[in-house]
Amino acid sequence: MENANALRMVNERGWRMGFANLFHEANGSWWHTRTWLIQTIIWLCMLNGMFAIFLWKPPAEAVSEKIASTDSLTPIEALQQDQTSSALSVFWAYSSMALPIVAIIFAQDAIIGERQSGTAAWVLSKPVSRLAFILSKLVAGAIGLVVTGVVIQGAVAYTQLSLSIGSPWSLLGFLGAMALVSLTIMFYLTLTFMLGSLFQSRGPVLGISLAMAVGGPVLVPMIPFLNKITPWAFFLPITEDMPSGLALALGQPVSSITPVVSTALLCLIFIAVTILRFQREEF
Amino acid sequence: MDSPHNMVIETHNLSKAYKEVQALMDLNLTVKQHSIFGFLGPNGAGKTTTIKLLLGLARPTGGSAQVFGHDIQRESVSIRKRVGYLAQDPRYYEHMTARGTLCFTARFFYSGPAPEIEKRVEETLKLVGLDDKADRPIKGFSGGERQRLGIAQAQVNYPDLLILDEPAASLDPQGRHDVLEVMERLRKHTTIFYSTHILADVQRVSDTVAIMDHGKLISQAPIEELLNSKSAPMYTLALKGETEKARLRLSSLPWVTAIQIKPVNSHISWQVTVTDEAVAEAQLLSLVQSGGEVTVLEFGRKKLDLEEIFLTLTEGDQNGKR
Repeated sequence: MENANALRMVNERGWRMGFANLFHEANGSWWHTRTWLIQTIIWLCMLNGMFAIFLWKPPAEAVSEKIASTDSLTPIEALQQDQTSSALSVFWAYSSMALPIVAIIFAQDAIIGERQSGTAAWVLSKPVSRLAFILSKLVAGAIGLVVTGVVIQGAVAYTQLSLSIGSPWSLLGFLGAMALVSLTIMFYLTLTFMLGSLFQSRGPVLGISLAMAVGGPVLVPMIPFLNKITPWAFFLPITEDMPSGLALALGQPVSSITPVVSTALLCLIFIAVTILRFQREEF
Repeated sequence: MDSPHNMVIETHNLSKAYKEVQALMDLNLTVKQHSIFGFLGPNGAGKTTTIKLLLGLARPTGGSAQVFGHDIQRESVSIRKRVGYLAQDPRYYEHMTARGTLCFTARFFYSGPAPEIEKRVEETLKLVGLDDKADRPIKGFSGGERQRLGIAQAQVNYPDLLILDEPAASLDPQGRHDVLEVMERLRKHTTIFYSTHILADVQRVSDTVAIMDHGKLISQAPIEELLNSKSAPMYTLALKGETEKARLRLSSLPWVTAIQIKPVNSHISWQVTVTDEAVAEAQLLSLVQSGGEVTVLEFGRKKLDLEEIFLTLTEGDQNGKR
């Protein structure tokens, strides 16, 4: 009879070889260090602090002279007339702009850093599949970023919002908006992983991904098609339509789910390219 | 004859080219179970490339290879389950301690209760003499400590094959001595395939040697065979007195092919190469002494050391190219 206290050979097979151990290690770099606490405090101060200021600031004297003729307001202008809606739009817009930058900074080192330091070659000399190497970092990074940047802040923001209006806010819509911020983070995370697998140095990886994060929303008004395939207009009022993420947060109908589906597909494509490229990597 | 089942590594015309550089050419190598196999060659000979190919860290551009009968391209993970590897310049996660590194490594191979894994780690730390530094972060480790940690992480899964790439290259004499001692301790448990350019180390611990140069295998043989086979019989003599007449007597003999003469302090050293060992042993000494003009201080059969054989083989290879 097998001794229950004896060492057993790991029984992972195929692509899962080494995943559990690598994921445990990558996850530990978030949760067994102060990383999660630092991230959480930064985002609580930045996002929820700003949200509180916008929620509870004294009302403006005269919001707008246009108020008399609300018919001429665009959805965005109408939104800005309401303090709660305005605070929500600022909260989600900042979340969708700031969190991708952190995702990019985190992810740019995940592949290139390990390749350059030689630790990737060391790990891959063990019984580890290359797919497990990539996925463990991606999944652990996504969990760390989404929990410390979206879930905790979202929960706090939801509480702030409900306290501000004196009753619970529409939870489903709010969760939908949180999901879209998470998808935005995944877009940049997977994009940066892919660039990390394609380039040998950090320069192009950081340059291209940051240029997309900062410059992408600027391109949407010039090339409206981009709005349909990227997350750039999820929360930013860069077209005349109500941004889909904001509409969700406000409990309003979403005009189109095409950008959501396209962004999710792009994430999958980025992951596939990363894996295919990394499978061919030589150390 | 060796059964193929006894072979741990077999390569068949294994080749690797990087753009225009042919790093490895048609390597045919066999490594027997439970041997300490010295993989010798100067820098750039193709040793590290071969090791990376065997571990699936690089892809061959030609030929094939099996480790434990598994194909290196299609069954690399199965191979790595049974292998421990120490890189030439080993790198670890610097924030980890030695113990943390070994626990992390062990979990690629073992599941089971944490105390059992820790027990294995403790044993391995003791094996390499790092038990007193187990909880220090790696970033403060010296070169020798890193190398010992490297051997520990390669050995923590009790591998059937230990691949060590230049395990003693960056170490001081004491560090080298320690590493070779660990290798000798491990030889009864595992097959060791290690690359090096330190010939004295090979001669000390290896039982089989392969010599590489410019990406090609120059020779592979048990070390004793290599030491005995690569030279015509040679005898050394330390002489005093008038040696010229004795030299002329020997030069006229058909079984003497060369006499190298070197003055050494107060005497003259001769190295006499012969074709017939039996005749030389019976007559050489008496022939030298027969004229009475020289005194023989020393006489003996010269055995080439590995360095001389290595130089002969690699120089021969280079000459062949020119």
